[in-house]
Amino acid sequence: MRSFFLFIIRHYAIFMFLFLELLSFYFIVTHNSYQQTYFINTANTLSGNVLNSYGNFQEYFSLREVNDSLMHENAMLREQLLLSQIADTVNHTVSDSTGKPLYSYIPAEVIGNTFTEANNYITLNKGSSDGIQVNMGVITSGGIVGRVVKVSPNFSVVMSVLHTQFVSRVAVKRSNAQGRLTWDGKRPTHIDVIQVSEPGTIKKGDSIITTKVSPMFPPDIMVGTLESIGKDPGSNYYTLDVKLSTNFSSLKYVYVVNEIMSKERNDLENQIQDAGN
Amino acid sequence: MQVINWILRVVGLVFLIMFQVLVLNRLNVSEYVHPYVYPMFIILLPFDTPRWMLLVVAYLIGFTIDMFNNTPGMHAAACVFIAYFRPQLIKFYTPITGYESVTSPSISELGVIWFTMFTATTILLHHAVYFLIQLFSINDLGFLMIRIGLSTVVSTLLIVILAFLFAKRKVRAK
Repeated sequence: MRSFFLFIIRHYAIFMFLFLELLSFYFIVTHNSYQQTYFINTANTLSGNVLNSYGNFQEYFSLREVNDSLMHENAMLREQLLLSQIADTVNHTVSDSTGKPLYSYIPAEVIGNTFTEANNYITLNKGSSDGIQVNMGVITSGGIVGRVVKVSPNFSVVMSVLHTQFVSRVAVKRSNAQGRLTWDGKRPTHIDVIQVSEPGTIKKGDSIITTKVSPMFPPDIMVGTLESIGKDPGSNYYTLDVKLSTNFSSLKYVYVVNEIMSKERNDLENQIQDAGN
Repeated sequence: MQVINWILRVVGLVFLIMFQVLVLNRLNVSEYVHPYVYPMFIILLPFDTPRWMLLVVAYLIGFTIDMFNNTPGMHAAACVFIAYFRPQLIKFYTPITGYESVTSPSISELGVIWFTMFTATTILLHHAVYFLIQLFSINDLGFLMIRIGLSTVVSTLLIVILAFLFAKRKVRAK
């Protein structure tokens, strides 16, 4: 027994090394399993506040840029207002044909953002006290951003579209051919749309937009433009290489999408699933 | 003297982590180049640092970076790896004359070539572990190999430049 302890003491470094590596890999593996957000940390007080105060400081240096983008967005919204017959647009809501509001938007600021990892997250400066809930979609003026995965009272963490486990259904605007959005983890400017079954008249330069099938985002939000089309070997599906319209390296202001009737929709869909079982 | 030395190291560590999280992580150079300079702190630790301390310090630094990047365990695993193999590396790179009175890796006392070689090897190990963990998500070994290679070159260059800047400041202070 004594020699056993002596052995451990003499070689403590390797045991400590193995222990710490196992601990790290435990975190990695549990985190990688689907929807495990236990260790999402930037919503905690320390990193949240560090990121927030740096964001406040940095704001002074990008005022002109921010101004420009807000002016641009303003102009775009005014234009939409003229074209739209739905007066509710002013109140940050989108209505259905009967006039009931379907979506409302919560504006938020990006205080933490990675786009160089294989699984990227974005931290926002608003949380549950502002009405943000898990699973809400997040968009920006020019495109989609991601899905809320964790909220604390004052911060929330968004699973970026640039995350290998992010899923959403999208469509080609011109032909309405649908497919599934996935990111291969490489370029933060491009994304793939897989399992597109009817190529029809799809061609380079087509717009890719969100659909009503994915309730996370309002329909017809721009995702990106089609750059190239490839055929999956051994199947009838096509894979589209899409250039994202969201610029993730300069993301500053975003809107969290609140689908007002999401509870009713989810309940209904769950009833069918329960009945199926 | 010892105390001042350690205070300077801690200040340097805070600077490195801030530089990594708030500047380098926000650069979009290329999908092949993702530099990480914060392991510089582990590289610069004194030669006689006890092994348990090396491992614990490395784990904590890695974990801190993980907290900011939402990459639980990934940086911690890479840091613990280089901390464990650091004594072997130091032995491997012993100069012909031995380390004599030199107490920690420094560009002014051991020369640019020694420092660059030692840094490059440590960073290569760190990046190899870190980016290979990404195989969990990115199923493309060839792509990750290029990413490891190019990132190692850029990180090493940045660390050598930083070491020069710090060394100069020290001389001026005298």
